[in-house]
Amino acid sequence: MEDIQNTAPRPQNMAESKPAPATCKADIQSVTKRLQTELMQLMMSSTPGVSAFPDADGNLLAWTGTITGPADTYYEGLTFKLSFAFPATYPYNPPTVIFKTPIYHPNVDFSGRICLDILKDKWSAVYNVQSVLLSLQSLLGEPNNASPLNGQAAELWDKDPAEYKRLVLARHRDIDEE
Amino acid sequence: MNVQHFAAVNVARPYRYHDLGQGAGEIRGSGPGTELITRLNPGDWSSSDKAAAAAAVSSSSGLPSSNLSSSTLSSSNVVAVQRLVQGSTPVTTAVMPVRVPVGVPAPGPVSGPANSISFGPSDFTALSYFTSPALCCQHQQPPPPPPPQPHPSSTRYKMGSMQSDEELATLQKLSSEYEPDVQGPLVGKRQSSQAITAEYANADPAFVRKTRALPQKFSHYRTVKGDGNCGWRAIAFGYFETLLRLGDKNQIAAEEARLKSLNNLLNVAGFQEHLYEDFVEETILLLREVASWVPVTDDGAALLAKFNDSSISNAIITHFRLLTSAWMKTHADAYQPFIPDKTVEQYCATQIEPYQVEIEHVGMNALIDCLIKSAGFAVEILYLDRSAGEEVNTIRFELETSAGEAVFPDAATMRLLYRPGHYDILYKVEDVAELLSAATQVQLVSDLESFSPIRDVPMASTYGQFNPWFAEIPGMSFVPGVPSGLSGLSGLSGLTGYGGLGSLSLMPTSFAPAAEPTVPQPSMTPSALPISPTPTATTPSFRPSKYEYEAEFTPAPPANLPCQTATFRNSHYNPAHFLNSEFQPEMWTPETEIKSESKSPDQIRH
Repeated sequence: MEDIQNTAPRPQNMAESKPAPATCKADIQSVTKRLQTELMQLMMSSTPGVSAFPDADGNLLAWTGTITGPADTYYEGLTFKLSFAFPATYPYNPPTVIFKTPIYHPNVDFSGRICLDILKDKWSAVYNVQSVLLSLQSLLGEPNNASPLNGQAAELWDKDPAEYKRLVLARHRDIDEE
Repeated sequence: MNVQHFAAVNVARPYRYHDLGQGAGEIRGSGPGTELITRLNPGDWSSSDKAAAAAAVSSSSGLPSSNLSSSTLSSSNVVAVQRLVQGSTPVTTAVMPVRVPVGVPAPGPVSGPANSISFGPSDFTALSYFTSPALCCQHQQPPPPPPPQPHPSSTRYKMGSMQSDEELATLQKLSSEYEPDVQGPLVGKRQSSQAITAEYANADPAFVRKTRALPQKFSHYRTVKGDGNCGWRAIAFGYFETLLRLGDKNQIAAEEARLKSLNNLLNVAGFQEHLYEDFVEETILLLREVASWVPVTDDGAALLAKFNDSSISNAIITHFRLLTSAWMKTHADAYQPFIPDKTVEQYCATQIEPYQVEIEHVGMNALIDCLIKSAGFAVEILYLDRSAGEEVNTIRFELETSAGEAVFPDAATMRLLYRPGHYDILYKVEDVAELLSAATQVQLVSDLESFSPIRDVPMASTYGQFNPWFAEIPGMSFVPGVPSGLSGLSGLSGLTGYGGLGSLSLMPTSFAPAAEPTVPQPSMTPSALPISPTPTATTPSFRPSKYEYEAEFTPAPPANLPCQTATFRNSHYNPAHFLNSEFQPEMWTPETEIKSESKSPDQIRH
């Protein structure tokens, strides 16, 4: 019985799989357009403490962002670089954002991967590079200690501020100096 | 973590690997998932399958299989032909030889409509063996045919065989990371709803019952890709299609104004204009294009193409998601009771705004409230599930007064077929006919009425009889308003179709021998052709009503009017030929005499 039911769709599938590259191309174009708009807006409205720019290789799908640690947090005065990788389905799917600068934080693991809802299941098309950077900046001051990637950091956050501060500074390195 | 999740994994893995054409040996992981994968290893069945598929295609078409897929015919044509075939009056045979090869499947219980529909991944049937229809949301396009036997029990049996928490965790992880590799167009072509019946032919009796009743009320359906946006896309497509079907440019302009004004709602809800304006723009652009397509000449093919352009389609969906979110946030009191465990804000952030998150009932309500009801449309959702009853349950959403009465009882209605987790679009036969040839039919009616000499002859019943079919028969494309492309198969098939139609439904059968319709030969002189060779596809700038001629409309020749008996037509009391722009007094020309001796055009004879 299964065989019989499976026979019909097969030729159709082959016919339909052809247009795929065309839609991909259209997607890339709309991603590029959107990212150009975002870049314009970022440059026009210089938000203090955050910045981002496409990587030098001319690929608009990879950006480097910078945030500075907010005042009155463990990260005050430090700057962090992040890499943005935009999928072809952006802005419908979130960019992959990773801390390039080593950071000691409850919601960032030692590879720089970030646990932030808007970069995962809460992502929607009205978020953009700027709102991601601002969210990450506020995450530095207000971590979600309930679901940590770095359990030690989550524990120390409230318990031992001095030790926490020491670990933050110990881990932080400006990658540009490397 | 529930049982359904695991079933999703079990389905998901083999499905993906099968698509990649990989064998079971490359599959990671262990446990029940692997077992299933092994059992579904394509090598077990694919080669015989392919052969069977090829055989099925060639046997049903009699043509190389490429003809089948490259056919420009829409499935609605196929349906028309099927009907012609089923209702086979002897005179329809003129149609069959040309039409049948293109898509009518060979007769048979399973190969019937199934051959003419575009299923998504072909291996679904096999996979669905292990899953319940209730799990269908993201895994297929269209939802898999339900299994031959009721499934929850078999699924649970699989679950019971699982051993460790570790496996559970692994499967959970796979499940949450899995992105279905759904195939097929974002919005499919309209096809006969018989396909649904065929799909469920071996399913649970409740499904069989309900899907059998379905085609009687809803002649066509359209698949929507099950990519997590299907409910949104179905409503969005239905919205534009309904506007197109109604064909009222003023209404479309009003909708454009309304949607623009809804930007205020987005602002109130806290969305930033520079972030949503791109999405709104796509909606507005498409609305304008829809207005430019009125009157419909292409059976909505342009709209379908737009909706299959992912950048346009997704932008519109995102716009509607944001509108819904804003609507829910600004009408939080109305929706909060339906969201027990979250605030409306949280719900919107997780269930409405993110792309590829399936619409739930609350979201559907809000979307309809915000977008559809205010447009004066109604939505009917037909729930195909295993509940009791002979038919699918229908819920109608429309604008109501506080007393619960419909504000517009005859509002244009779009219909969605809901199978747990998935939406498709359904059509009643009149919706389809309307979209195909809103302008055409009206023109023909007024055309008929303009013939004063024959006005008193009862024609309503005959007209009503051929009305629903009429639009779907390719030969009818000689009437302005139907694209010439539709008849572009070949001149011959078009003419043949015309002849078949005339004899089938325009002529009282009892007169058939005397009033044998003339099937014009291509060699005849143009003036003798009952079909005007120059279709007037003009779009006048202003048409106050669709019940009006287009400016340059030339009435079709009255050759085969339904109300003429052979006796009357051939009598000298019939002055109808004077109204025929193609009318020419009979003149003797030797060529005509020779070429059409056997079938001289008696419609231009006194």
